[in-house]
Amino acid sequence: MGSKLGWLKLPLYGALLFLYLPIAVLIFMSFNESDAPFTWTGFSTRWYGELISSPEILTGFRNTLIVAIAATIIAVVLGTLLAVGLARYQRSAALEAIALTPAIFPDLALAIGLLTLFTNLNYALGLDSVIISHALFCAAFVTAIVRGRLHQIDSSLEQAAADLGDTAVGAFFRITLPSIKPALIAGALLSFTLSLDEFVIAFFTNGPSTPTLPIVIYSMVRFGVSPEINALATLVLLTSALIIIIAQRNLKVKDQI
Amino acid sequence: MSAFLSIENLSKNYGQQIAIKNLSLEIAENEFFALLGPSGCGKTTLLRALAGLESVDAGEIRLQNQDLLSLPANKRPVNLMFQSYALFPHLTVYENVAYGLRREGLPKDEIAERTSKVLRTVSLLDQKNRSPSQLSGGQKQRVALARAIVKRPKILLLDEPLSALDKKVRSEMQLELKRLQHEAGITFILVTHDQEEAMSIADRIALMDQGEVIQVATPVEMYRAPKTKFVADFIGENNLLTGQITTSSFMVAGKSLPIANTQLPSGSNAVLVLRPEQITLGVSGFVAGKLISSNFYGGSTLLFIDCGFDQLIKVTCVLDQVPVVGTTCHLSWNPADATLLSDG
Repeated sequence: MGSKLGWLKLPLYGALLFLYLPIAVLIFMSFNESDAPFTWTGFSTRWYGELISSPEILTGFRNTLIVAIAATIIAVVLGTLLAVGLARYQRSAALEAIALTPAIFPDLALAIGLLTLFTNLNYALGLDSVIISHALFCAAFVTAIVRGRLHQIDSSLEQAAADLGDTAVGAFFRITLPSIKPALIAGALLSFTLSLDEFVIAFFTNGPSTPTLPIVIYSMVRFGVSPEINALATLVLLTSALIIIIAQRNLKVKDQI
Repeated sequence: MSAFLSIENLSKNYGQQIAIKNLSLEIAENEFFALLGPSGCGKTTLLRALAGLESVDAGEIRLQNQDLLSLPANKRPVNLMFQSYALFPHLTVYENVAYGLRREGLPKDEIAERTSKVLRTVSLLDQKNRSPSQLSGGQKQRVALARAIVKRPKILLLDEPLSALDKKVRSEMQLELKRLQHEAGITFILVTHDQEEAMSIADRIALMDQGEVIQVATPVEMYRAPKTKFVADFIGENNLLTGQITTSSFMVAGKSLPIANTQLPSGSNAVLVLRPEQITLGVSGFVAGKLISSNFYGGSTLLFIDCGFDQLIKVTCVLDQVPVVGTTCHLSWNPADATLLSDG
């Protein structure tokens, strides 16, 4: 039976090939010895070594890390507060839609809007403006995830805490927060990965002296794709994939309880 | 001397919807009291108002002469066992039960002692380090119960505590609840839609409908002397025949049935309430009809007989006397046993 229906798996493998071929080529070429971008001459890890010795890349990496961590912290706090507010005190579908929409806004529209806003406020562009911008759209993702989690947990838990003598604030920290912890971790990891490789918004809202890693890569690519870029992209890809896997596992394991 | 708990003229609306309508009720200390009624009758709203989880529009609730409504939920000497149990999923059984005592700021050894004692009472001491997700339905229910009684409330409120359990476990837990109430010496107020449960467990029952208390009585009183047609219909199996009182009898669908003395005036519309077990089958009777079907319940069998009324007459019969379906049965009863209610 397996052999008879084997051809049915062809579309599956075809789709997977389509999805993963570019990535496979990227990783493969990052180990190319030669600096000719399209011809394979032999295995080498020299491009990974060159990454570490490039001050531009290291600065970009540092900036990206600062932005990702700061934006994640802000997004988790704001997103959680928003989700709890929506779940507990507000039954308006319109408000809920407004709260979640920044997650699916076109990056370009958001970027232009933010740039206009910062310019009008005479706000000097720099890492802090990127942090604010990233926190904005990441908060929408956190809200969506935490909101989903709050839907699943029994809303009488907080009432039970109150009935047993706890204050509203106490019940939030002792009962609500631990119950939504998996969603907070998942939201934080997602925010971190989104911010890590975000280009368009960072490009618009950044100052000239503080490029983030995607901006550094972009400026390098303008003069042609070097194997160094391949190596860098491979590292970014692996980091993001790893974080997403951790986030997924975290949500799944906790949901079974 | 006023009652232990008194509820006076309580009202609550949800917009246009009336949940509780000018309701007054008195409950005694150490009583096992049941709030019974169909869904949407306001019984759960009343329970939540007692717990402080629901605000009311008007009225008073006094516990030992103290105003209860002015206290927030976390300050009331009242605990609620939730229908969903609402166990904290990230805490162990022990931590769930100790939660309320920790909020009181009691010394550590007192918390440990009281928690362990209650867990022993509900036979869950061996499971104290488990998470709620590892427990069966009956065990969860006992944790919820332990968590509420460990606080030694003056009143324990139970919201449909047994509805999530299967039938066998349920009757065991009914006994358990009764025993616990006796041991703990706490007033229990239980909400249920299951009249059998209320009848078997409670000292007194308040039957509610559309936000109002229809009758407050002991289970036996309520079964024997229902105050209205609604009560007669809700409590137990019953035959309710709608007709008219004449000088000496009761006319239903052109048939004349004997009645005992009644205060209802001749000529008025009334409902004759006849329990299935009050009717006997014989060679002659007040009314006759054909046996349509019989439902076997083990100890007894319920017969459905078509006497030409707008409904089949239900008669309880012991197993070895069940007639063959299709035979004509003659029904009689002691007219003094039947209740006549005004049908206004």
